[in-house]
Amino acid sequence: MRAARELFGSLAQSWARTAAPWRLVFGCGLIILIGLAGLTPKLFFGVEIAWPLLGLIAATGWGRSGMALAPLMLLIVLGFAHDVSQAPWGSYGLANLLTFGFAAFVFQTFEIDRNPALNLSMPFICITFGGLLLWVIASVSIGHPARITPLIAAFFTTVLTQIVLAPIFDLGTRHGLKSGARG
Amino acid sequence: MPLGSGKGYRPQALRRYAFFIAAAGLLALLLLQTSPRLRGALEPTRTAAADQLYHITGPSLVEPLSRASGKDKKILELEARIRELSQYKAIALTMAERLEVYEEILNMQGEPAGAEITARIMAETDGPFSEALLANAGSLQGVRAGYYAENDRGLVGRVVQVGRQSARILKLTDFNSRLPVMGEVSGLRAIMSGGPEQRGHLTDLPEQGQFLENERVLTSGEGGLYPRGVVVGTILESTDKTGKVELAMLSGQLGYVRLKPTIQIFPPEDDPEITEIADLNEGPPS
Repeated sequence: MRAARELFGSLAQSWARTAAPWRLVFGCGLIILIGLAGLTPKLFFGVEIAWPLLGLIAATGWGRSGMALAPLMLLIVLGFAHDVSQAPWGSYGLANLLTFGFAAFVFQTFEIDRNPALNLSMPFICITFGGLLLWVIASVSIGHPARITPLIAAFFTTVLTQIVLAPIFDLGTRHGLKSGARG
Repeated sequence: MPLGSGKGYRPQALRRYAFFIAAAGLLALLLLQTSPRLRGALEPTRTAAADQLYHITGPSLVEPLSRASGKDKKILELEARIRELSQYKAIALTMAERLEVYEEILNMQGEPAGAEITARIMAETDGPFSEALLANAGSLQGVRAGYYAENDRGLVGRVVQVGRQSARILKLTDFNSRLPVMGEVSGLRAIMSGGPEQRGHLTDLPEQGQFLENERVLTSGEGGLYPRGVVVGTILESTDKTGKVELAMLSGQLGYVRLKPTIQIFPPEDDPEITEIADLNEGPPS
C-alpha cells in the first residue's frame, strides 16, 4: 500500500515537472490509443460499452490553459480521425474546436481556479456543451433529429473518464489571465 | 498603456483569428458535404482511411479481459443450445428432402446463388451519425457494394462501401436503412426502417390486414436489393399504421458476418436476350 502511494506520488511529481508540449503529446497519444480501442467491438461480459468522447475531454482540459495554436490543430486532426467512423468530415473536429473555444473563453473570463464549485462543475458544463453541439451537427447533417441514446451513453462515460483523466489533459499553463490572477 | 497593446497581445489575437478561421473552415467543409456530388468525391478518402484501420485494429481489445470468466458460462449455454437444435435438425432434414422433391415436381426456379464470404467485424460505429460495421473483407476478397450481410440469427445489413481489404456495412438499425419486408404467416408487405431503441420500424403498411404478434419478418425481395426470405426479426407490436420489429441479428453474435451477393433479376426489356413478341406470334415450328 505504501509502495503504491510512493509510486503514485513520484508519478504525480514527475507529471508536475513535465512541460506543456510533452503533456500535449502524451494526451494526444492517449486519445489515439483509447480511440483505436473504441473502434473495435466493445462487448464486456456480454454488455456493450459506450466509448467516451475523448476529443471533448481534451478540448475541455486544454481549453483550461487558454487559446493556443498547438492544441487547436491537434483537436482538428483528432476530430478528422474520429470522422472516419462514418460521420461527415469536419463534424467531430468542429465540435472539438468549439468546445475548446468555449472552455478557453469560460476559464479565462471567470476565475475558475479560485472557486472550487465552479472548478468542479465547469468541465461537465463544457462536455455537455460539446455533446449538445455534436447532436446539433449530427441532426443538421442527416436531416432529422439524431439518435440521442448513444450520445447520452457516451456522455456519461465521457464524464466518468474526465474525472479520472482530467490531470493528464491539464497543460499546467494559464494563458491570458488578468494580472493578479493565479496562473 | 492602452488595453491590448502590451507584450503577448499579438499572439493572443493571432490565436483567436486562427480559432475563428478554423471553425469557419470546418463549418464550410460540413456545408459542402450537403451536396451529394461533393460528398461522393470525399468518400474515397474515407475508404482509404478505413482500409488503413484494418491494419491497425485487431480483434476486440476489451474482449480478452472478459473472455476468460465468461468462457464456462458460454460453453454451458452452447451445449444447451446444441441439445435443443439437434431435435430440430432431424425434422429440418426431412422437410428439406420433401421440399426438394416438391420443387423438382413443380419445376420451381430458386434464388440464384453466388460467392459468399465470411468476414470478421473489426470496427463498428454506433454514434449519432450512423450505425455501421467495418468488415475485414473487400474487393480483393470479391466483396462488391450491394452484398448483404447475415450473422447466425438473421440479416445484419448491406455493404455500402468497399475498400481493397475492408467493407462498410450499413446496419438495419441505422436511420437511413430501408428494407422491403413481409410477414412469414400473414404475407403482408411493408417497408422496415431503422430507428431508435435498436428496433425496426414498419411503415407503408397495407390498408387491410395486420401483422401478427411474434410473427417472423422476412425480406420480401422486392426491389432486388435483397433476396427473398432472409430472416429479419419478429413482430413486437403492430397497429394499422406502424409496427415494431425485434431484430434477429441482435440476439446473435456480431463478431463475424457472412457477406452474400444478391443476384439482380432484370425485367425482360432490360435483358439482352429479349424475345420479341412478333417472334412469339410466329408460333412453334411445324
